[in-house]
Amino acid sequence: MLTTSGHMSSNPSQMSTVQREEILAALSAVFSNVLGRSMVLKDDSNAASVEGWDSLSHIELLVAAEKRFGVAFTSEEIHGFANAGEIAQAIASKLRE
Amino acid sequence: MKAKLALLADSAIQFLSRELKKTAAAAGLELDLYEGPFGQIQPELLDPTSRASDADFVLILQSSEGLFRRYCSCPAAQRAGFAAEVANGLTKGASALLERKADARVIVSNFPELPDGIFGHYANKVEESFLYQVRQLNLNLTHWSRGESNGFILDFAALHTCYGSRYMARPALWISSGIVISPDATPLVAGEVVKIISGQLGRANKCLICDLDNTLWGGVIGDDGLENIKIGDLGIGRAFSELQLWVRELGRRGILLVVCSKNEEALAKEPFDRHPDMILRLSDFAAFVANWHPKPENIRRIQALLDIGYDSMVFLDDEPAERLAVKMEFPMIQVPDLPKDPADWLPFLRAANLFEASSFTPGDRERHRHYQAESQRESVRTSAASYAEYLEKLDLRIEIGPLDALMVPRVFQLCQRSNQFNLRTVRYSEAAVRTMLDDASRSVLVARMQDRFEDYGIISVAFLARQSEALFVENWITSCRAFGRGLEKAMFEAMIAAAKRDQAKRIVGEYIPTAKNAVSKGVFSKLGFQHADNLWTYELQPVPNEYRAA
Repeated sequence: MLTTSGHMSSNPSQMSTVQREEILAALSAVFSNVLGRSMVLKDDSNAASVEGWDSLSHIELLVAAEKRFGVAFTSEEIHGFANAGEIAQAIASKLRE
Repeated sequence: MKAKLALLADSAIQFLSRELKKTAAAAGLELDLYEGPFGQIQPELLDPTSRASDADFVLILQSSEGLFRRYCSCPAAQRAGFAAEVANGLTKGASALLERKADARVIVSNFPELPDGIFGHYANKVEESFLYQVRQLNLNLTHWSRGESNGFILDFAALHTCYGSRYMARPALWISSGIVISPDATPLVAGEVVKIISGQLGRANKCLICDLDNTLWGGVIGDDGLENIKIGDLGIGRAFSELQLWVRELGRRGILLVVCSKNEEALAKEPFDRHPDMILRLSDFAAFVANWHPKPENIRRIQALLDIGYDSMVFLDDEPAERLAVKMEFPMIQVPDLPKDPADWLPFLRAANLFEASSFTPGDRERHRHYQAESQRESVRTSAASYAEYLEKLDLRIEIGPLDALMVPRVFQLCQRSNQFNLRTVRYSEAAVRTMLDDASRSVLVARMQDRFEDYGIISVAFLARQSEALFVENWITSCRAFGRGLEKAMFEAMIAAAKRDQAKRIVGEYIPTAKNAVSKGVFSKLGFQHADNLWTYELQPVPNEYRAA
């Protein structure tokens, strides 16, 4: 239906990859800010691999990410995110809504 | 300021606890914080060896969410008594802790009303409904706190009403992580807890300084004239009338009201004397400053006149430029940034809770009269040839006696509020003061003062502890209203009499400096005490032989 942006919507997977990378970069900045040290997140970065990402800071990181992107996570998401890629994916899909 | 705080909760409180530390530090309060084990509220309260039993403050936070679960498992036949049962358990534990430790304070959070959608509005007619029981429970907690001098309520329910449950709580965090306070509301709740604690430790806002034009009334008296200023039914006058009602209530609670306005004085006073819709009157104010000097300069004058710290003042002005000037000159004065529309001011100011009280005695209502009497004294002072003649003309009467039960609330308040003439800045709790009534190892001397203009009431108290051959001045406090009236000498004589009665050989005192008590630094030296090893000693003259009983 999106005729004016037909070029983009005809290739949604490519668009979301670009957007995903941007989100991951911005998410890295959020994490760096909350955890107090500079870091670059990858899709598979998780609580085990990122120092300081524990059950307590998990909430803090997500709340900061919500503020940064203007989105709200559901309880299922807050409870279930396993890595940075999943967070970025959820943000991307919320931004498209 | 320093305090040990134990947090006991049935929800996840790590964020609140972190925010509490941050907020407290910003308010100059160093919190040593202990988070009790999750859900272990009663054991912490009842076990004398628990860490909560060792704290200065215990904050109990139970959630309405948890309460609802408990309610649901309560058999229908017992639900009418649910509130009483919960309140009983909670207050019994809290009171048991307070009984063990007279100096501890317990703050109990009350319960936000969760509309449960079971009975709807009809719940008000059904005693066993959850809503009915929550309200009953909150009322029971209020009654407990009224009867327990070191028991306080964190009015969490009022915060929910004021800010709305959508703001206060975030269901996704409760479900996923057991957190009942939303991240947005956490700083707010922490701020309110810190207000209660620092209030009990002696910090309080005592004075409201108000602008006039476009603050206490709409319009400019000098331009618009008496009949055109907005107050009462004229234009948006209701906003200003309601603000004045609120300000007058603060005055009646004991907050000193002061006018600070850029105006001709006579013109500025005219509405208070002549406008029929004016609610505040000149007699409501402790001081009235209207001239064309910069406001920071006038605030300095007000400070000198009232003799209270800048950090106990609140400045109210519609003009952002004036607010900025005051903020820059006095960062410790609280300057609320009023919303643009005067209609929003009162809700904003009410929610800001700028004047958290830490005590209340009926005498608070008369506080501002002192400053009016002071200006009458000033004219006596200028007509008297000498200071001695001035004191004589004042017809000063000082009465010193032992502490009795009726004096406890005022003596406690004096301990809380006095910062300047406060030799060791020991802040006893009200319960601790009460225990001194029957403490044979202590004498507490209380002074009342009166002159021809005013009855000051209780204005000085000395806590004396018997230590073998000496009487130690554990603390000595005098209200700044009594400075320069020869009261120190009279108190000293009463101390000597107490020492003789106790057959002590000397009186020993100590001055512990703080940021605010420099004025009391020289008192021992003036009274003839000798200084050695940071202590001040006054040796009593031995009774000469010829007067000794044979």
